[in-house]
Amino acid sequence: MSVQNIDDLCSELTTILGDCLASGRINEALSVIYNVKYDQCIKDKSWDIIPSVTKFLIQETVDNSPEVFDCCETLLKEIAEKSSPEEALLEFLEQAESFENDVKFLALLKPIQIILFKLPKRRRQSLEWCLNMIESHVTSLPVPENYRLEGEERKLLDSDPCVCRITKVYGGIVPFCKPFVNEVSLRQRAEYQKNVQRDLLICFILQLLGHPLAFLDLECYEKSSSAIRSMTEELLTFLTYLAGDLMVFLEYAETRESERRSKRNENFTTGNSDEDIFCREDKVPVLSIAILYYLVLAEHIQLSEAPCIYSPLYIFQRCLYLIVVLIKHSEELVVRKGLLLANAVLVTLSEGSVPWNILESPIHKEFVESLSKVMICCEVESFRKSAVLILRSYLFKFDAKGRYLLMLNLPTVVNHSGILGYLITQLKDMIINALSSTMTLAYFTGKTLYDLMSIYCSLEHGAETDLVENVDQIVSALNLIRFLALRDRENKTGMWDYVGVLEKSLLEPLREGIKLSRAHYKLMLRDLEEEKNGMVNSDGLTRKSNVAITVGGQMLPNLTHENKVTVITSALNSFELIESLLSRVNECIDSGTLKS
Amino acid sequence: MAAENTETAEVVQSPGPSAVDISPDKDGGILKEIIKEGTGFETPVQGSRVFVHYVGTLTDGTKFDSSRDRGKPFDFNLGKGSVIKAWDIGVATMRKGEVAVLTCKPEYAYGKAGSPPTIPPDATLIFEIEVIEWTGEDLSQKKDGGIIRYQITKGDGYSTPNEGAVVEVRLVGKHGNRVFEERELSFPLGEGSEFGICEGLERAIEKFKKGEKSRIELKSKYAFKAEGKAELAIPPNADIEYEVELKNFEKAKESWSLDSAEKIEQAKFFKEKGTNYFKNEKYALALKMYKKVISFLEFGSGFEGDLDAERKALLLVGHLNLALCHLKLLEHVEARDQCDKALKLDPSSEKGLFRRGQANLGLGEPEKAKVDFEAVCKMDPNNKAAANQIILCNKKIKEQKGREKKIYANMFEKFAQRDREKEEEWRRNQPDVMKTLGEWGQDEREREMTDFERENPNILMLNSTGEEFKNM
Repeated sequence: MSVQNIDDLCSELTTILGDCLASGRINEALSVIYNVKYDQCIKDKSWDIIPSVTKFLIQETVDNSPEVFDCCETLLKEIAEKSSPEEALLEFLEQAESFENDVKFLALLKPIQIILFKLPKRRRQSLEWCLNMIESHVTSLPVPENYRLEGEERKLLDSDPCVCRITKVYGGIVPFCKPFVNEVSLRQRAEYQKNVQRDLLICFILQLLGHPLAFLDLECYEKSSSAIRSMTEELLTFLTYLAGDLMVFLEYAETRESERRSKRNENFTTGNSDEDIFCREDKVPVLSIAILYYLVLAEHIQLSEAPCIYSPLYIFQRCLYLIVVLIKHSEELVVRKGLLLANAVLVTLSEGSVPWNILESPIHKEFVESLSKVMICCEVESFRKSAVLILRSYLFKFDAKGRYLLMLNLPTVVNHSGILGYLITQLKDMIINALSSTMTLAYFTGKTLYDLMSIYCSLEHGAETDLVENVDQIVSALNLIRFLALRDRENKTGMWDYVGVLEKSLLEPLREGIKLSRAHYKLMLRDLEEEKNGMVNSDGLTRKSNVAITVGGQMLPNLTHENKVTVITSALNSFELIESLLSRVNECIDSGTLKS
Repeated sequence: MAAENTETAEVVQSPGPSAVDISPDKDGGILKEIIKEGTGFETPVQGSRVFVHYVGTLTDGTKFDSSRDRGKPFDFNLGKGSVIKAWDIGVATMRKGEVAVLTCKPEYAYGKAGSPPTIPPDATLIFEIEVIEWTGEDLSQKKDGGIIRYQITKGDGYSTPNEGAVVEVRLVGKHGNRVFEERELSFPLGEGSEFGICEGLERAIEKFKKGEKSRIELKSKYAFKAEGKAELAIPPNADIEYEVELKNFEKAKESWSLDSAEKIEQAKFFKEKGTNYFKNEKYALALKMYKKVISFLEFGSGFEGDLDAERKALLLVGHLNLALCHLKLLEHVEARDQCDKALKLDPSSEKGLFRRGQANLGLGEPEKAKVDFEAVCKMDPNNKAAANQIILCNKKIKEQKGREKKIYANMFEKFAQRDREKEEEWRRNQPDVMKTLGEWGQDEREREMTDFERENPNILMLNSTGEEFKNM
């Protein structure tokens, strides 16, 4: 057959296919493709023929004439079978690279798969191209926004258009890679030498776990779970087949963590071919590793397949960095995964079992820092609450020295009165713990206890400290002192030796501070009342109040008169509270010193 | 083999008669029974990458885990705490090819918590382990076996030096059987090449813990490459090995594990480094080291008794030495500030006063300097250096006075000159009365438009310079 002839046949074929598909004559289109007359031209000229079919792969066709769409799929499969694979693959890949058109992308996966199977020898390169194409399609998918959903409300996400789209696309990708996974699955053959296709697929699946999956709800509810969850489960099964031991990626998380620390100030060079492929952020994003361990450890997917030899302490240490990665995100569902992972790794540790010297790693500072951000700033209430519980659980996993070191260092990171107050309560519990157990009191007694007390039980600016802003810390501190005075009459903790110092650093300035603040707020209240009277006298209508109230150094925005009165009254109430606590503390101290 | 082993494991639910207690405390926590003897006498050293096949069962015979089911041997770094205690202890006793059953009490396994969903709380675990092989720990990034570590002594704690951290090492380099170098040095990680430390060795030290001693095997491409190293008589493309001990290193500042004693230790470490640099006249480096001394001691909390005294002494020395470095670098303002800090700690520090005097002198404040030097002399009348400085100060003060005299001597003549110039300029800017005479003055321009002008708006009314009037 001459070249001229083939070109003619090819244009004839494209015209016929185009006409038939446009007018819905699907049987005719099918008969043309099965006609042996065109076999040679399909083989040589696939890049001309493919576009004539793929242009019908649009949503409109699906909606208006689904049979035409089905026909297109059949045609493309047939072309894939008959074409010479190298050329056809390039054309298919180019066609599939349209980020907006999911319909086309999904329809082309099958013919691409057929071609890949025809290329067993040079599979590596072509498979890599295909996976890269899919990866870029997946990463271009938009993710749902923050809806601040709580509890069961999260099920509503399943109807979010972004989620539907992602689910649909993943629904196509999972069956696409299944046969390639099976080819190199460790379950099929006992050959475990390094294999390029296996590494390629591992990277690919890990990529799929990152964006956009990280931003979806992957939790399992009692009866139902989101549609994407079952696909995720399948991806993890693939990963087990490929990697054998799912826990190996923890080691990569460690390298990633230390690399990040040492290279922070350098230009990070990506694509360094000298590196292990799993160490490269562009191949395996650390977010993906974090999601993987969230799924395994918190959602228990494939957990039963993971080796049951790893020490919980090791998993805890390696996961801390991953948790930080997750909770530093601004997207709620990513933060939630971080919190769930934190919970999961902490549960496996028993109280007091974590040795203090692991605090050598700077990751602990980062962990507490980001956790406290969630505690204070997160918009979802249940997340804030669970972060608080995680902090407590984390603190109590450490041995006595670890707890002491943490308590000593935490105030350098968190400077929020509420959290400080909470920490003081924890300190009290730690002291109870130390007093009542046989555990050594060493770190919660004498000078070391005093170090802690002097940090927590003091007023930052002496008598001028803003009592309203710091009320949580002050109340907790007073409670702690009172507790110690009552509980430790025998001076086991050595607290009594420092009472004089506490008196100077906290109790006296506080007394003074209450006096000052109360006078200040009473004055404000009087101003407000006068203002009100004045207003009633003039027109009796305007409620705009000009008395400025500042809380914690910030001016409160335009409040109505009533609101301002409420704010001031509640401040005055807290002063009452502090004062009554203060007098009880004094009573306890006085009676204690009399006895001793 | 595989099938046979699995069966044995299922049958053995309590340790056999030949089981030996291998727990360090001899508390019966780990019982080991050898099923099949291994070959050779060697057992894997700490840190080795060990490849094993294993089957784990509970005491009731339930199989909970098996590497054979996953189709791939399990591998881990021995002695790193990545696996349960029983394994780190047990596998370290096994030889190549050995098959043994370890019966592990919960304290050496998953304890009270268990490991949901497979391991119940307080479970005794039975592992049948076959050691297939092990390799040294591969520290190369590419995992190409180019940097292999064999641990000799285990280090302390968990942390390893960060890039840029100063490390103190002792090393013995060998090429074949020949020792080519043996030395002790400290250098910042990442700048090893300046100190004759090859890339691979530096990479390895990054993974050391404090006090660790290991043998490091380096392929030539991570050592002296195709060039070799003539000074050490290392031929091109030679594989070499080192025995390295990491004696100490700078800990990450964010670390929370440092207690008071360790902070003091770190501060001393840097003080020594700083002094060394200072002696070698590397003042900028010395400065950096002394700054680190301060950073470890800045916050007072946690120090008590002797430690507190030591901390204050170190802090004082730190500030004094910083001042000295700044003086050497002619940074007088910084030097003075450091002296102020030192004198705050100890108002009677002779060095502090003396150095502040020097700094003040450098800043051209001989009078202030004199006060400092006089204070030194008052405390120690025999201090000749201070006495000399006072003489210098007096000289400077005299000089300065002389110079001032010069500056102010012609003051009146200068002012007179300036006044003359001003007068001249004022005169130049006066309008020329002759030219403006008879033309429209300023007040004329501000007048209302005349009817004529209103009717003929396009008539241009010009002022004396020929410029257009703005109100038309």
